[in-house]
Amino acid sequence: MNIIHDVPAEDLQDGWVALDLELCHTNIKVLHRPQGGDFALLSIYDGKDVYLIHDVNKVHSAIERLQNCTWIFHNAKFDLTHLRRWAYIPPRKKIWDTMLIEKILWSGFYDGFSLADLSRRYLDKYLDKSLQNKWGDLDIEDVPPENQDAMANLQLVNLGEKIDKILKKQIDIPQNFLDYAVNDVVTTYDVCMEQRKFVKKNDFWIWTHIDLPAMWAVMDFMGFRIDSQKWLDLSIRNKQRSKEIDAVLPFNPRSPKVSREYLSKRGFLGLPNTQESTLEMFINIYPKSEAAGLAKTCLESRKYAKRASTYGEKFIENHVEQDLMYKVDMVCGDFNIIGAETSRLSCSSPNMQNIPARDTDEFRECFIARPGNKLVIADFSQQEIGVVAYLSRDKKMLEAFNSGEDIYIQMAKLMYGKTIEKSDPLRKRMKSVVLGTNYGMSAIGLARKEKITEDEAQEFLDKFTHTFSGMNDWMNKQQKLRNYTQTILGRKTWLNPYTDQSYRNALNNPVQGSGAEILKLSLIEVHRNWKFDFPYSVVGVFHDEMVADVPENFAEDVGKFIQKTSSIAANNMCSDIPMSFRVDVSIGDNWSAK
Amino acid sequence: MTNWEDDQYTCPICGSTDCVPAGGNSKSKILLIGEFPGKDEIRTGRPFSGATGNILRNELGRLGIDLSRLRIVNMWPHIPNKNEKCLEYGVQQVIKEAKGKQAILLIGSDTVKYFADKKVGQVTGLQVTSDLLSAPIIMACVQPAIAFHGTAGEVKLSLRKFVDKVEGLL
Repeated sequence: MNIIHDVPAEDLQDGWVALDLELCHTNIKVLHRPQGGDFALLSIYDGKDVYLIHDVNKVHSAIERLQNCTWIFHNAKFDLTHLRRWAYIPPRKKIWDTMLIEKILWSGFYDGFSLADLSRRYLDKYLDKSLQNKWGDLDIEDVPPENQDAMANLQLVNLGEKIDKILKKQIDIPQNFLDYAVNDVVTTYDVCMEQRKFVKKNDFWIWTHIDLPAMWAVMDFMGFRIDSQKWLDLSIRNKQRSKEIDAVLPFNPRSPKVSREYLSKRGFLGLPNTQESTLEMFINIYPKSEAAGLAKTCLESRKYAKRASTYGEKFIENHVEQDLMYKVDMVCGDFNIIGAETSRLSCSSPNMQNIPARDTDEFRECFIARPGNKLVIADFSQQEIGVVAYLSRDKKMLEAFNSGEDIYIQMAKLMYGKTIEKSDPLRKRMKSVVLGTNYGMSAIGLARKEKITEDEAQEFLDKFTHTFSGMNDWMNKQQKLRNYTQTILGRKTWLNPYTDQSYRNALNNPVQGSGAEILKLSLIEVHRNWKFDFPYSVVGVFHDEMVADVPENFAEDVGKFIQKTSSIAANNMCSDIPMSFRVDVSIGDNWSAK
Repeated sequence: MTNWEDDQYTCPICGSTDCVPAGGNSKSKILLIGEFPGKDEIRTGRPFSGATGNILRNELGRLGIDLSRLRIVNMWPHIPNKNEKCLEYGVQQVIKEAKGKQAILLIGSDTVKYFADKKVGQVTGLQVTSDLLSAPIIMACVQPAIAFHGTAGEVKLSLRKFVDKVEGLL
């Protein structure tokens, strides 16, 4: 193996090459951002030679030399996001991401998917990653100001129309860092060669048709604009609310010991701890006690205190950056293409999927459209129930789902043979059962949730099982699985028989996983077919929801486009029987417009 | 227990009567070293007889290995306390057990750290070296109990890699 400190002399032909980008001047929490960090080194390995590119201005020509090859990365989204700052890289098919493919192969079987983990598994090799976070400390000198104009002429425009000045960097990379880079890129290549032996036809299909194109769609997300001042005002209000509530409580709600002792003395006999779920359970058990009222207040206080701390000033400090084009504040979450065992997307730094929305619109109101724009919010309606109906082939459930009416009313109608109103408690009970059985809800759980007797709950469940026998048969079949579950498209998630979650996962994995696939396929189609006169403007996907930030005049058209494209993508995914997945679209100035 | 003079169940350092001595097949060329005995082990007086041991037994069984054919011991003679000397005593017992063994599996983070000075997450399923043990094959394995809370893949893979290496010794 030769180590060449330059770009390949000629085009590499039709082979496999591993690439690994190292950045410096970095804060590890913002590395995913398009503007985070400076170029330090690009390593390329073709199975024979390692090429180390030290000069950021040579990145573009290095990438050009690799056009005929399949590019191997470990966490391609990171490398490609940054490489696009210095080279023109449109979406391409010939990408192999050892991290994401490992997740396709082994979700639920392993927890760790780092390159070091894969090196152990496939190569029996310990990979020293101790320098990983030390690249940021390397000393780099910027180009002297007198040379910057000349260098700025080398501007490139990437697909997302983000403009990045290319400035030549002088960098002295110590030998141990170079060794580290070589080791990483060679390991990535070697892991890929071994991993390919395990990838079956359907795994490869899932990679090339779902996760890879979804990755390109996610990489082109615009940041989500935030009204920082409004957010800070809200943070102050939440702090104030928390203080006001604390003032009426006779004990410190933040001290578990004191809270438990106080509540025990005021009616919560045998209270084991003061966790939220425990307090809620005791409120149900002793609803008329003094402790019940105090516990409710205690939970309120904690809620506002958490909101003030998690979603307070630090949030702005840590996560807000400038949209260079619009000169407004924005937040760029790090979306992970396979973020959960079930293959759902996840988001971190910050986790935009966790922004409180259940009982308040205040936080979502802070996320707003760019000047002159509107937010288009597309939301899959009752997606998981549609997936359960499809997977179980339960005729009555399919009928209820495809009717386009409120599914819970339709199911209650099929079960009791009478029409019920939206306000009827039977609808709520039906909703609890439909959503809860998927997670293994028992009669005890239903009784507690719906405040009915266990006998009533059991009777309801029996009737449900009898009416929707197809769903019941499917659940029984799933619970007998021992190795792995599969989504509609055949994605595997391994079951672990040693956990008490195994039965629940056998039901939940294919439903959540298929839901994730629906969302990804919709996103892919929206990304691929975006034909408007302005760039692709999706700012994020959040559970069953896709949000775009588009010029006001086009908001209606974009809404219709996303609605049609997404529902077709979902229905095509389940093409062997007629399905009517529906997407609701709202248009507004902020994220609470739904 | 038949030798009244040699009470293996009592720690000579702290006097705890919850010691669990080495168990399994004393003639085996293979030694498994765990971290410390749990409640079930203390109750039965045998190492790896609790829930964690069951995972080990099951997974080795799937690979065609009967756990009782191997020698097994814990690094701590009893539940860990703050007395370093108790640990030293336990380690001495382990070193005695390890003499002449052809293959050793270090199980759990404390064991791997103590004997191989590595983080188990970085070396599980790999061969490691130890200044204290001298068997030709020494490998690391994550604590099987992780399978109760997370995934089981690393335990399965590490055991399979170990069994692949020691097949000829069984």
